[in-house]
Amino acid sequence: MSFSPSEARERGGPYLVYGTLLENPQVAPSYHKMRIRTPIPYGDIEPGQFLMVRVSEEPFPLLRRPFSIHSLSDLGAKDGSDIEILYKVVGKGTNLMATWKGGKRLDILAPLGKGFSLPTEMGTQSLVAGGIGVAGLFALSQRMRAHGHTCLVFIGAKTKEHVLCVDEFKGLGADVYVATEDGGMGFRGMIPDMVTSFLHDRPNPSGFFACGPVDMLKAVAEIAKSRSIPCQVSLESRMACGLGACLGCVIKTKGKLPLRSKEAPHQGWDVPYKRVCKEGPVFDSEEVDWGGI
Amino acid sequence: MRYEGPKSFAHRPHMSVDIAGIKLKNPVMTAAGTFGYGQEFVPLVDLNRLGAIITKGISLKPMKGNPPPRIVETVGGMINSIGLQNVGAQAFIRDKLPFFSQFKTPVIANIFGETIREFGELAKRLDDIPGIAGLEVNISCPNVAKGGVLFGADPKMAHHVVRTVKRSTHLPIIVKLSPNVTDITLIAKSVEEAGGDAISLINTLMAMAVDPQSRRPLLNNIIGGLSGPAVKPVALRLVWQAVNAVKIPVIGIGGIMTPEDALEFIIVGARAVQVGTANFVNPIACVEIIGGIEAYLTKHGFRHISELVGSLRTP
Repeated sequence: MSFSPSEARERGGPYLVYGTLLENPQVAPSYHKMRIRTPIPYGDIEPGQFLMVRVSEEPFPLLRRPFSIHSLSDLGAKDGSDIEILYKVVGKGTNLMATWKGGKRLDILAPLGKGFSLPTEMGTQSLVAGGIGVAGLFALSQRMRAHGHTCLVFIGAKTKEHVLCVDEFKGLGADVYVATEDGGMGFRGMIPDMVTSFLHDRPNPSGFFACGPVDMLKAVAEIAKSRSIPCQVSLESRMACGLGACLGCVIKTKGKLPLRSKEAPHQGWDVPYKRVCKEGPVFDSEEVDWGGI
Repeated sequence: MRYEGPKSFAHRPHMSVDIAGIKLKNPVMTAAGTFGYGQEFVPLVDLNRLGAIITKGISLKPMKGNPPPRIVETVGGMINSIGLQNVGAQAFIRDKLPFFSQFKTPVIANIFGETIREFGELAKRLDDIPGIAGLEVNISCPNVAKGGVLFGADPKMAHHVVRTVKRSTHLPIIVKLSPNVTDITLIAKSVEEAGGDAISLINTLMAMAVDPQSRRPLLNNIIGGLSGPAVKPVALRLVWQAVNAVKIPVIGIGGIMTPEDALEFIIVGARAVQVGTANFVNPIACVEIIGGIEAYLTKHGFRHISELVGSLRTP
């Protein structure tokens, strides 16, 4: 038997719990948003962290599926929190999930990984989301608003049908700018180009927070670096355990010392591969070896 | 919330097993590489419930592992090519091992060398370290360029490795075998003759997967090792053959997800089992399997797990 939520809490989490699916509507073609009631205390979850849900009791699909925590609501210390995930239906697992109805009991492992670090100084923060990347940034925007930050939200997508959450971000008081590759909505072109042209005649934001495809993250990291602005990126990877045990989800970072070099004593030796599920999914963009991804 | 076995202590069957002098309170261990160095599972599992913990494989010096992507899910399983990323013996002893001292569960260090000499040096390095109950010698990793499965596929090489390790340590040694061989009985016998105290099998089956759209392999290493429920029937057959070839204890591994899976291995003659990929899917799989085995023994009137070992009714 797993530990109770209070025991898991004493042990520093994560929690292996049953949640209850409240609703699972389709919010756009091939996108669903799932609201799950969980006994996990609101205060124990950071924006940028993720959860894993067991999709099937059968051997296929086998592995739990990881999802960014999209939004969070506090139900009070005793009752836990409601967690939303926003997901794109792409494969076997998400196709099954899309059929789930309210009331279903879900086997949840959460919260996992290291989330975004909230800036300590007040300022304007730039959130950059590519495609389904909005899933990982909305909870951050909620938390930033609670802390009094001003948010600029840049959303990029292939076409306007894939643009998600504009009204939700506006509802939090954020300024939202949209780019579509075909120009069907907002800026025509790729999101880093929109960010560059937007910043052309404006003061630098205090920080970048990005989630989306690797090429986009890399471009945003370059923009941030050229302007000496700190940038946090949320990365994706295929995962098995989500707990840091299997070492399956690693990405390449700028490790400190070369492997087995004669000059390098083993103390201070640093593996260049970091676990997306444990050291991530949020990384400082300067830490990532973008050439190695 | 979840089933954990019979509540009454009065008629509980004995679950303890002895593997080459290592006393386990029950026959369920975590398989190497699927349970890290234990810490990751502390919020989820009472480590004292486990029969034994086999650590993530360690080498004499740190290894950085293979470039990603390292894993891919396939039907009923997953293929991995982690490449034995690990902190090395020194950091293992200094940073990882002390953590286990708070638990009563035996810790078995899984060891790997690129050369026979390295195996020997590593065994010697770990020999007088408190907190290690035994060594599991990995001669079966499919994901490294040197060593690994090369040692496990050749009875002579396997013999050399085992003899070298045996001479370098006082600890009991379990030798982990590869399924990627023509005749498992030759390797098993060779390991037994060389002084192996027990064998465990199977390691992963060499496998690959391709994305037909991009025509690219789904692993950076192209080839990896298949684990999970898909491999269980193959594993069971190999364990059965090994049990019939040697007298030393055999530990069954391969796709065990449920108590029934574990029971199959025990019935064909495995004295203990290891649970691997299931830990990823269900972090409390081992505890549920222990509870299920106990319930089975109670239901069928077995007083001791040993009565079930090798009790297969053959035609």
